[in-house]
Amino acid sequence: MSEAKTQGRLALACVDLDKCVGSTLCVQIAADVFRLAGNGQSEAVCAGSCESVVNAAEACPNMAITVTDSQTGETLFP
Amino acid sequence: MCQEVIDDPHSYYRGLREAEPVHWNERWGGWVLTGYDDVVTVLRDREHFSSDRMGFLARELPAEKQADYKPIFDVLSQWMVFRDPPDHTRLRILLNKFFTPKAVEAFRPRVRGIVNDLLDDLAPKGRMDVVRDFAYLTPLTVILELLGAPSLDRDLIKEWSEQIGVFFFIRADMPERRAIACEGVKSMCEYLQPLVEERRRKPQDDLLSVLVQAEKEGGLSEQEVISTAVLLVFGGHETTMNLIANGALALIQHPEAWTQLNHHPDLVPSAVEELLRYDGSVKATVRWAREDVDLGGTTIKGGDRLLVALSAANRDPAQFANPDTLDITRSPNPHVAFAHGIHVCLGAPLARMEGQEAFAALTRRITNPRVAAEELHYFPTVVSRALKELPVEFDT
Ligand code: HEM
Ligand code: SF4
Repeated sequence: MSEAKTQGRLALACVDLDKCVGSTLCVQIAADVFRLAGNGQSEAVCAGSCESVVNAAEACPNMAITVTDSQTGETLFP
Repeated sequence: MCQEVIDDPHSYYRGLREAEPVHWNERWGGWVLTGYDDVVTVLRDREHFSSDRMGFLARELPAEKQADYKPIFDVLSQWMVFRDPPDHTRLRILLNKFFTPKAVEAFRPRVRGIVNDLLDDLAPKGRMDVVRDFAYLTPLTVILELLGAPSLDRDLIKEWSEQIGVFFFIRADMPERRAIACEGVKSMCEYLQPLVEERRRKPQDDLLSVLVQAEKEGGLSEQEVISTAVLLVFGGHETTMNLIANGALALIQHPEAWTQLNHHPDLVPSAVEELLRYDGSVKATVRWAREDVDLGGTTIKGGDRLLVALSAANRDPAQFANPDTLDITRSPNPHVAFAHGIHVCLGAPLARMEGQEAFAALTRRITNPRVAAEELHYFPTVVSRALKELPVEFDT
């Protein structure tokens, strides 16, 4: 992903609940986007800046998060 | 703990899970959890369950005994695995970016090289001890290179790690385990300290320098720097070594799976997940209840400890169809071999990648392996599933 291209854009995240192990890492890195649901797994509650959402997705030990560009639908991660 | 339970923990856990998945073990003085849902619930609930092992141990120990434990306390009490938030969060976030699935891909070619170099040597011989000749060298070499300490003596480190493991993994047959572990911890700290000093003077592109840099910026204490270095060396190889050895044994016992991996290396990633589930290297971990809490209808009292049996959860028929069958194509495979929740293994992506390279190379280059021993023996520990040796013969 070239940063210039996505700068200022919003990204959407999707958490695969078969893979999320509740590490809370995404929540710590992008607290505006992810939140812990009652079962201890993460859910994406809104869009966020591409940079912070991709950072959170990269931090996930289990590759549970996919990130798409909210305008173009392009996959930003993985 | 009797030998049967060490040799075959899965049958023991099956019996417990069927009879009483939340079971009070009088001798250990704590609860044993063997059901998948309870295990996952406890691991994900950091509000009610603490990992502060050294804190709880300090409270249990009479004051006059605490001095004996000083080296262990000084070092292990700073390990992120034994800490609760917010300290845990600080230590974990600092290192997490170096161990993400994406970050560890960069080392895959190096790991492939190490594994194949070892096999260049071993394959023509027709026999090897998988533990000593193959399984431990790869992960230990990798973690030492990541830290920036490639020239350290692997045999010394292995010996001290085993000494630390006597305490960490709860070696039941060694009442003197405290003294042994103190020796191991002290020796390893003394061995690593000069390298840390060197990085303070002249930072490099390695993890020791990352730790020292964080110290400079006020993010880590001096003790946390050396403790974390010891944790990475220790955590970075014992468990992965055991994954490779246990996994090799399971594949030898299922020759059709061995052949299948040789012909379909694309199955290696799902095979590694299945080997982690089927006979993972960490059988259990421990948590402490902060307050009274209900678990599946049983009241756990504040201060009680819980043995969270990962291996038992990984064979729970309520979660996994045919749990005692090795199915290298199983998907999804939500095993808990690396735990769940905030302490989920930092090195999981690295261990997975190392396991993938090890099993891909083994099954490609070794044909018709047979176990060359009447009986196999495991170290008698509560926590780790560790073969003493795995002698194997194969065609040349
Ligand atoms: C197959 C190999 C491995 C297995 C089965 C394994 C298993 C585990 C488990 C079960 C935990 C959680 C303990 C708990 O919650 O009480 C853990 C934590 C940890 N592991 Fe691993 N591990 C493996 C490899 C590695 C490697 C290669 C490293 C090297 C970096 C590593 C470093 C750590 C660290 C630092 C923690 C503490 C994480 C935290 O508290 O946030 N492990 N491991
Ligand atoms: S980082 Fe991954 S495993 Fe951790 S909470 Fe987020 S989605 Fe779940």
